[in-house]
Formats: sequence, C-alpha cells, structure tokens
Amino acid sequence: MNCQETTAMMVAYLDQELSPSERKMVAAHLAECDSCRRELAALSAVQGRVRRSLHQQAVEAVPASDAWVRLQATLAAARPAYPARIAAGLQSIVLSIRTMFLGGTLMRRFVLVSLVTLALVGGVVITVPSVRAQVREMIDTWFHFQLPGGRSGVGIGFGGARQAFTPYLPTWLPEGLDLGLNGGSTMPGAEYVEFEFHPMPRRKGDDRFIRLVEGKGEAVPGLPEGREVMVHGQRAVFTSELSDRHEIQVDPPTPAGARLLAWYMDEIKIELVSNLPESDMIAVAESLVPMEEGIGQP
Amino acid sequence: MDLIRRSQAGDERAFAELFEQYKNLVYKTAYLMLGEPQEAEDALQEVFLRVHRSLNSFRPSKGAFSTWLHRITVNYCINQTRKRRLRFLPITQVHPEQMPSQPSPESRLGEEDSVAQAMRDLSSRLRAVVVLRYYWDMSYAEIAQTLGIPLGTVKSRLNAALSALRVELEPSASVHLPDKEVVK
Repeated sequence: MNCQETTAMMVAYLDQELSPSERKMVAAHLAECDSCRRELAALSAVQGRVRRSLHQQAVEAVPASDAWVRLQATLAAARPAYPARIAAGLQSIVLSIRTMFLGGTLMRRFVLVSLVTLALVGGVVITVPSVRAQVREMIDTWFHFQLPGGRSGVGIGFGGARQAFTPYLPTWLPEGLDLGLNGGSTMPGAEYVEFEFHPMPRRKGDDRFIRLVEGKGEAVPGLPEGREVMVHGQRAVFTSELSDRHEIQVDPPTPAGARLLAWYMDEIKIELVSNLPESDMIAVAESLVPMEEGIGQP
Repeated sequence: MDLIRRSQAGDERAFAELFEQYKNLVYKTAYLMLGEPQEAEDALQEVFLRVHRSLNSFRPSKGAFSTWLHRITVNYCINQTRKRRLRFLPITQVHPEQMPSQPSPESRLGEEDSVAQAMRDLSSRLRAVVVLRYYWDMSYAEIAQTLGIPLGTVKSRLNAALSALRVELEPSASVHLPDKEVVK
C-alpha cells in the first residue's frame, strides 16, 4: 500500500470504519512511513477541533420557547374541518371504486381488498350519523376524466367542496402503459396526488413506468437544479438527482435509472419520474389536462 | 414507536409530544448546517410541517424515525443553501470602498469560530456528513441510510471534507485529495 492509498483511507481509519484487513494494511504502512504518520496526526487534530466546535455551537442552539405554539397555529390553519382519518378512509374507498370501474385488467386481489375496505368503512358510514353527515359533505364534488385509449373513469371524490386543486391526467401514454396505482389527497394540509402508470398486466422484462406527483401549497419545495426544457410553455427542469423527492414521498422507492421532470402549472407543482426516453416523458407532460370537475352525483 | 403510531392516527397530543421529543434533533442539525438561529427556527417549523403532512408514509420497517427525520432535515437544509446561492446584492453593496475591511489581528477569530467559519465554506453535502458523523456520532452505515447514498460516497465525502477543513485551518498544509467527488 502506498502513501496515496493510505491517505484515502485515513479518515475512515481514524473513525474505526475500515474492515480488519484494510486496517491491518494501513497500520502496516503507517509503521514504516513518517510522512503518513504526520498526516494522520494532523487529520486527527482537525477531527478533534471539528468535534469540539460542533458541540460548542450546538450547546447554544436551542429552539425558541414559542416554537410549538407557532407550529400549532400553522397546523390549525391547514386542518380540514372533518377528521383526517375519516377523510383518508373515504378517499381510499373512492379511489378503489374508481379503479374498479375502470374495468378490464384488474387484479383479483385488488378488487377483493377494495370490497372488504368498502364493506368495513361503509358499515361505519351507515351506522354513525355524524360520520354519515361528514361523508355526504365530502362526496359532493366529483372528477370525471378520460384516459388514453378512449376509456373514461366513472369519477373520484377528492374531498368534497374543500379540494385544494384539480389534478391533471395525461391524454397520451406510450403503448402498453396504463394506470396502476394512485393515491394522495387534495385536501388542505395534504395537498398532493400521485399516479403510477406501468404495463397492465405487468409483463416480465418490461419495467417501464411513469410516476406523476402533483402538489400544491407553500410546503412543496421549488424546482431542483438541472437541465432546462419547456413544457406547456413553462420552464421545466430535467434531472437524474432524485434524492430531494424524499421530502414529499418516501415510499415506494424510485427505481434506479429514473429521471425527474419537474415544472409548475399555475400553482401546482408537477413531478414526472420515469425511466422512459426523454421525448416520451415530454410528450406525456405536454398531454396533461385537468380532470373535468363535476358537482353533485356523477 | 407508540407515539408515532398515535400521531399517524391523527392524535394531536401525541404529535405535540413527538415535536417536544425531536425538536432539538431538527433544530441543532439545521443550526449546524445553516449557521443562523433564524434559519434554524424556520427549518424547525418547515420540517415538522412536512412530517405532519407525510407521517403516514413513514414505514418503521424501513428504518428508525430519527433517520427519516434527519433525512428530511438535511434535504431541507441542502435546498435552502441552494436557494441562498442565488441571492442577489444591490450593486452598491459590492463597490470596493464599501467592502468590509480585513479583520485586525486583535479581532482574529477564536479557534472554534475559525472551525465554524471553515465549515461554512464547505458545500452543504459535505457539511451534512460532517455534522452527522462528528456531532451526532453516526456510523458510516447510518449516514449512508440517512442520506440515501452508498457507503463509499460517505467515505469519500468525509475524506474530502476533512482534507478541505485541514487546508482551511492550516493554510500551510498541502493535502492530496484522492477522491473524485466535487469538493465545493
């Protein structure tokens, strides 16, 4: 092992983060190299200074005493008038109903899960008057929409009249891709929706996917750094650096090789993550149209 | 974990306890990353708003809550630093006669202040690994999980950070930087 290789491992050596064999090699080189020993001592001193400085700075770093009060006020302003759990429960049912109505190539187990969920929460809705009233309030606004291929959806209740924005859906998709998963909420305080398109049914060797996340509100971070392109006449950014997305969505993980195309349409931030060619991603982005909003029963 | 489950179920009192328990983690990390109390306060508010909004997407099976919280905090701080880079100054503020004068030897920074200053000169990605390692005492594997980067990248970033700090703190030092990552 030479000096350059040893230098590259010195910090990990000091941090006790080398494997036993690496540690042995570094130690052997240090035993016979004055210059590297001096370098190690200097790095060790810097580490010590950094540790002391960080701990000293942190001692003085204490949050303001009114931090919780301020947060509470912000949360209260964003909280919907009805309980979040009921809203989330209803949302999942409505989304499930919607997916069932799309027909065609549904997985049997998904239908089963949807029916069981519907039965369980439906029971609560029917038997508890206060919940029934809230549910009636929530489902008075519906979204009608059409997917590529001419199929239309029956409708989605996205939280009644209180929805924060009207989601967009593509009118064009690459051959063979269809709506697979969806979720989210357009209610204040949780303002995002997510759709995933992939081959339906899944085909071995075909891992193409498009994930579409749409969000609104000040809490949605701005555009990342990346290469600029135009989408819908707006500045959009292409990037393969996806780590910032963790702020919005932790699950499911983004497959390797995916890229992000992000832009704003009015106040709605759109993130399109996909492993498709760039031209297809832009074509899907350009084809987005708002869902048609309906009032009352669909 | 019970606190998190209750918070996920919409229990506001549990969320208040969660805030109380973890506010120092977020605030101290943000303060060490951003260097300003006001920015750390903003980070505390913003990070917990994000936590409140996406708590249901947290999966205990995929890692500790503190790891998830650290990730949100560090990502927020990195984003803030990016925004800061684009801050513009009025033209009059950069006239040479209005530049601040060099500090006199008497007003030299103390040892810890000079380390803090050198830390601020690091890129936010390098600062993140330094804070997680030398303040929070995380192992390299924990840092890799928190930041969602490979173990080798943790090693190379720490190496780059320490080498850069050494050059900054000991101007006479000549340090070989073996990794290929961008240092600043």
